[in-house]
Amino acid sequence: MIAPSMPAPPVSAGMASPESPPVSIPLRHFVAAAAAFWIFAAVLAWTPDRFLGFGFDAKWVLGAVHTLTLGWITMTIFGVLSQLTTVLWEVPLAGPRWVTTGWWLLVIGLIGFVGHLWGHAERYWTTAVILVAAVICYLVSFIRTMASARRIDWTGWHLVLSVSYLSLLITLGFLLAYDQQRGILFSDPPGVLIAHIHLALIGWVSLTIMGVSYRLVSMFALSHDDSQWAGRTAFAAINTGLVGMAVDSLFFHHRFLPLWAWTIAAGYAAYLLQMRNIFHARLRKLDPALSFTLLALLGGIVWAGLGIGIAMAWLPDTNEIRAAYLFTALVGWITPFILGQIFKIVPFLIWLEVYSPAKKKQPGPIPMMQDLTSPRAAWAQLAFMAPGIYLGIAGFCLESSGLLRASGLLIWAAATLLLFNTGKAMRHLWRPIHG
Amino acid sequence: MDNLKPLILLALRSVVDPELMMDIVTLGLIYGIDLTDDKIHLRLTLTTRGCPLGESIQAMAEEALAGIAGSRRVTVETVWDPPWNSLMVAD
Repeated sequence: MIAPSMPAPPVSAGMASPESPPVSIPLRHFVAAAAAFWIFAAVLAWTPDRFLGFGFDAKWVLGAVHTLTLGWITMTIFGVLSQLTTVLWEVPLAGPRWVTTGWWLLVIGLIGFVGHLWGHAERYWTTAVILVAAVICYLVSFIRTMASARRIDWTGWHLVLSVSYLSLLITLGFLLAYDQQRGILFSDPPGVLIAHIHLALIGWVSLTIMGVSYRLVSMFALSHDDSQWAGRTAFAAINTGLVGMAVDSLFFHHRFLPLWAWTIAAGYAAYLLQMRNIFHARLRKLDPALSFTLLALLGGIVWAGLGIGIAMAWLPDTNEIRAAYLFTALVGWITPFILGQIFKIVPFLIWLEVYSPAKKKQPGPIPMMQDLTSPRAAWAQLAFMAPGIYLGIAGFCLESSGLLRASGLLIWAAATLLLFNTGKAMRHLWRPIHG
Repeated sequence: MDNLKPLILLALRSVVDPELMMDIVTLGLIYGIDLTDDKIHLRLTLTTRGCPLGESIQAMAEEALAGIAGSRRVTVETVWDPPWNSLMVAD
């Protein structure tokens, strides 16, 4: 029963530390993000025609995409970073007020930006200024936190680079929004758009996911894997491919796109190998969080396949295929990963706030984290998301509004269950089990 | 006194890491139990340094041991050597 003496391999890390910010900071991000995901899914379910060629409405789609990318994905990542950076770097979050201000600006800016787009108002780039200000607030806090870090580990380096890519992509995004109305900045706007999209999807989001997955998935799976060569290969290949693609798209009319696509795909294959090792060595059976991670990894494979297909011109270069490519990245790869981690992180933070015996003596038995949410609701989310993702991809590829509507309804059901589980956990803040 | 050790381990099995949802004995967090006539001294570790769950787990372990300690004093010490890893989890 007593643990024997062992050599000292790397320890896994928790999701909070004494340096962690007040729980209200990450939680407000997760609540806003869940609401944005719900709105996106509802929009997809009830207006599928606007996403397809015969009824295509660019501003409507742009609004929906930014609800998903900024409202759901980036909002969640900011919430996670405000918590996780303090654990990874063992320092307090620098300037929590910057993060709180950033959150308000992000919410206001997003409502303004999407509202302008959906209302077909001109000068929507003016609201993009608020979004840029929001990101600057976050960057100030994260970069200051990073600068005070005692050491930066493997996961930390992923976050350092992802934050750097975020700075680049937000600058490009703002210039793109301005240029779309003025048309004077870029000689090759589609190239700039390719750079912007991939800096976002790969540089900002995917690198964050990969770094976080090495830490959190290992911990949730109770897995021990000393070998990092596959992960390091993934890190090198993906960054090389991304920088190459961005420079090529910005300055050379994306002439070498196939090369960069293959490099990034090879990096993703190496990442899959690292994740296979983690899952292979796991001591825990599959739970909703791990199952969502597997669903995300599958989505990543499909996304990489579509990317290669487009870059090599094996697939027709149509708006629908491009939409399928983006949908697979956002909904097939990124979203399931977030859903899996959020299922663990939200109840953990609330447990720590409400039930930690270190904060106050509990009058009765202390509930488990799993008691704060419904695993059945999480399994149901998975059951809705999995077919929803692939019906959506098929809907775009086949230009079928029926399939897209079915996909939207399934994803909307999953988003509703996410809100339910988030609300169920949050309720403990006001009504603890012990009263 | 050796008869008490199984009871102590049984009591510690009621202390569950809420992050990993496993008890601290199965997790391999217990590094040692020192028993004397007037004291139970528990040495445990955590899955990571600086985790705030440390204080919670320590408090829960103290409470669990108080129930079986009788007149003995209970002390809990958090140690870091060797660092914990998931290979220490009991099958």
